[in-house]
Order: sequence, then structure tokens, then C-alpha cells
Amino acid sequence: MSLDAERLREDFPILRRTFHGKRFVYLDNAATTQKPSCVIDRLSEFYRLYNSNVHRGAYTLAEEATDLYEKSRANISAFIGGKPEELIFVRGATEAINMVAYSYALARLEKGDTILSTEMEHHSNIVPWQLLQPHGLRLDFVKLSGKGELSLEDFKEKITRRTKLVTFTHASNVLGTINPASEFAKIAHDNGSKVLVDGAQSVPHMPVDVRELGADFYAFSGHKMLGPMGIGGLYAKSDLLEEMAPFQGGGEMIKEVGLDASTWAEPPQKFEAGTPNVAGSVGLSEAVDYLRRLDMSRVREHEKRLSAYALQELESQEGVRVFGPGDPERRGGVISFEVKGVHPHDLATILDREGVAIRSGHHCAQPVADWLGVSATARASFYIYNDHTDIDSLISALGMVRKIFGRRA
Amino acid sequence: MSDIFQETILHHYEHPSNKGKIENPDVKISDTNTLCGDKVTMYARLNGRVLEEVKFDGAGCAISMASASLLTERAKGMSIRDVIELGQRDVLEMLGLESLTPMRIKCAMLGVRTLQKGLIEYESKKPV
Repeated sequence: MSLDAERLREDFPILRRTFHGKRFVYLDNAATTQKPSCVIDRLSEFYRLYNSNVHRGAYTLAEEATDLYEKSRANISAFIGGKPEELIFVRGATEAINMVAYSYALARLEKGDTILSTEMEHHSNIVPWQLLQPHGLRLDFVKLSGKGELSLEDFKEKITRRTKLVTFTHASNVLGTINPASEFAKIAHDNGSKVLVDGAQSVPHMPVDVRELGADFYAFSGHKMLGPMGIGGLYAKSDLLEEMAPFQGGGEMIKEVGLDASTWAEPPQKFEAGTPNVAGSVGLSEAVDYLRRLDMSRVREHEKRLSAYALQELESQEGVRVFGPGDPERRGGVISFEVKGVHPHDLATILDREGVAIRSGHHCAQPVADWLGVSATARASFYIYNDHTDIDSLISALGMVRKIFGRRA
Repeated sequence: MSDIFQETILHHYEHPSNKGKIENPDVKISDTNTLCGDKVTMYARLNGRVLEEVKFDGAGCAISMASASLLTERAKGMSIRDVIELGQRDVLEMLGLESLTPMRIKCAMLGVRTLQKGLIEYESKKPV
């Protein structure tokens, strides 16, 4: 039943590369995942056989491209439990959140209304809201507590009748924490607030059903789930899409244009000004098929087992401190850690020489680093093609770090 | 293994020279390298146009800390103009490295760029 990562690696040409003469161990999947041949081939096939602009041409090729684009939309939205007309294609989760900020919050909320975000967020779920503050919208954050969970107590305290939108990440890109999204959504809805969930770190790694979660908006990126860069989605409930103002103006998003005024196309086109990333949508749809074949519950189980092993191995290393919840049931395959006396960037440089690619830095979540009291962490993040041998490579490369930095200790 | 973590760098990282503050300095300036999260504060006391004492404080990766440490040794006794003219080649030479990746060169240059900025500000404030 478990995933055969070694077999799956054969589907990913890039994983055959070697770096510094070593087997490539890619452990930066929270940043972006590698692409299987089927996705790469599909992109190339689109440009070889189907390239045409969509929703316009009356010729067969244009109809084929439009059909591919809309079928991709239906396939991807079904993957997260939504209807086709509820999925807006965007560049990625960042653009999805910005769309909610401008087309919903700025356009529909009133001065003094509050947006409640959290201290756990990626900058993309903080900065778009800060940009609305000069327009009179208020911003508040739910505190981190314990080993890196959001404080339910603080959430209940901060949510007020002025809170019109609650926005939080489904899974942390630094701490690995998986938030109880449906529980949070219920509290928000009981308060009359809308709910935006940042799914960039969850859709690729676990079964997600936006209806079960109770999300009004759900943002995700294609490139973190085997798909191409530059394509992602914003799921939004139909009534909200009706209510929302257009995001950008241009072609595709209009019904009629006059020099004095224009009217808008129906959603989702209303939010897709300009020529969309058709090839990207087709590639992401192929990635979704690939993940569906693997079965998302098995993907989650696989990562849970890997995380448990990695946590156990890392914690047994001298001088290593692991951040985030200890229970693999409550966390995804993202593990941040530090090695005493070694800056994460130096650590990453040494691991690179051993063929092991990890991330170091604040991971675009400086408030989380501040909460941890560090300027940066090292981060290993897993996906379907990683297995125990990759974690063993990481651990053995940490031995090299000690050899270089620990010799005077 | 490249020699990026060779003896000089590790030595200056673990036993930095001139680390700390200068009381009532002529130049005090801080900057960060957002990539690594390196933070450095450079201090200098001047005698005319010559740097009489140079210190640094901060936290960061081995490259940034070692290059700041080496810089304090090198800059002491130099003129403002000569410090302002220090470039990448000089910093690499201090570190004993032939090259660094574009990302890590920012770490290496943090201390010198910060000190140079401080000296330029000092000069612009001072009537000639």
C-alpha cells in the first residue's frame, strides 16, 4: 500500500542528475517540487499540437485549446472538491490571496472592518493585507503558542464582530504544523466571518475537500504539486465570486466594452483578464491525474512515515534542535531545524557538497522566525519521491558539517 | 569539497577579531542581508581621515562574520578613501577564496559595504 519512492523517482528526469559527484537528494519540496515526465511531455505536447488562444477562435484548433483549458479547470477543481466555475486560474497562491485582498476585501469591506490573519503565515498571507491598511481596513494576528501551533484561545479572543475575514495557512511552511482548518472555519463562520485558507502546503500533500473544510476561499500553487510554475488556483464559493469586483481589467474578463463603461463576463472569466496560462493549466491537470493515481491518502501516509523517521533521526543528533510539533499526526513533511554553532546557510552549503539540497533562511515567514527567536533555520521538506535513504543521506551529510565546524569544540 | 570553509574563515568565524562596540564612535551603522538574515553593525573611530579603530558586532553565517572580522583588521590604519575603494576582489583575497557564488558574495560583502556606507555618510555630514 505504501508508495514506492524508488520506483517513482524514475518518473522524474531531474532526479537522475548528480551534484558534486553525489546522488541528488532533493529535500526542498516546500519551495517547489520536481516534475514527472508526463507533465513535462504534456506541456510540450500542448505547444506542439494544441497551441492557440482560448475562448475566441472559431476554428477547430482554438476549440480544442479551449476544451483542454476548461477540462483542466474541471479536473483541478474536482481534485479539491469544488465545481469548475468556482476555480479561478492564477499564477499561484500569492496571486490568489492578492485577488481576495483586492477583489473581495478592498472592494466589499468597510473602513474599520478587520482581517484576522496569524503569526504562522507566509509573507504572502501577511503583506497583501498590510497593503490594505491605508484604505482603512484593520489587521490582526492570531498568536503562535506551544511547539508552534496557533493558539485557539487567542483566536477566540481576537475574533470580533468587526472581523469580516479570517485567513490562515492550512499547513505551515516552516513549522510543518497542520492547522485544524475545519475547526477554525467553524469558529469564523459562527462569528459571521468569511474564511480564506492558504493551501499551498496542503493540497500537494494530503486529501483536501474545500467543502468539508468549510473554506470560502482556498488558494494553492501548481508548482508545489508536480505542476508547472506560473499556474495555480483560487477556489471561491460561487456567491462570493458574483459579489467580488474584477481583479484586473482587459480582454477575456468582459461581456461588453464601451468607451464610457463596460460589463463583466461571468465568473470564472471575470477574474481572468488577458490570455491565460493554458499550457500551465493543462500541465497542472496532468499533475493532478498523477497524484490521483497515487492516491492522496497514501501520499499523506508516506510523508507521515518519512517525517516520523526524520524527526527521530534528527533529534538523536548531537547539537540538533528541531522546531515545530513532535507528533507526525499533527504535522506535514516539513522539518525546520538548527545545528548548534552553525548558521543554516553554511549548513546548506556543506550539505549541497554532499548532494543534499535543503533550504535555509526565514522561508518567507519572518514572524515565525522571530517567534522561534532565530534569524534563520535549515529546512528539509519531503515529497512522494523521497524515502528513508534520502534522510540517511541528510544525516550522514550532517556528519560532514560536524567534521568541519565541530573540530574545535 | 571546495575550500569555502577553510581555516581562515572558520578561525575568524569562531574567534572573530575586534568584535564588540566602540563607545562614542565617529561611525556607527547597521545593515542586514535578507538572504541569510545576517546582521552587522560596523563601528569606526577616526583620526582625521584615517580609521584609528574599527569594530563590528552582529550575527550571521560564517562568510559574513569572517569577512567582517577580517575587514576590521584590514581597515585599521587605512584612509577613508582607501576603505571606500575596497571591492569584491579585495574581500575575496582577505578570505583566501578565488570566487564565491552570487548568493554568497552578498554575505562576504555585507561588512565592507556597510562600513563604506557609514564612511560616505560621515563624509557628507562633515564640512570639508
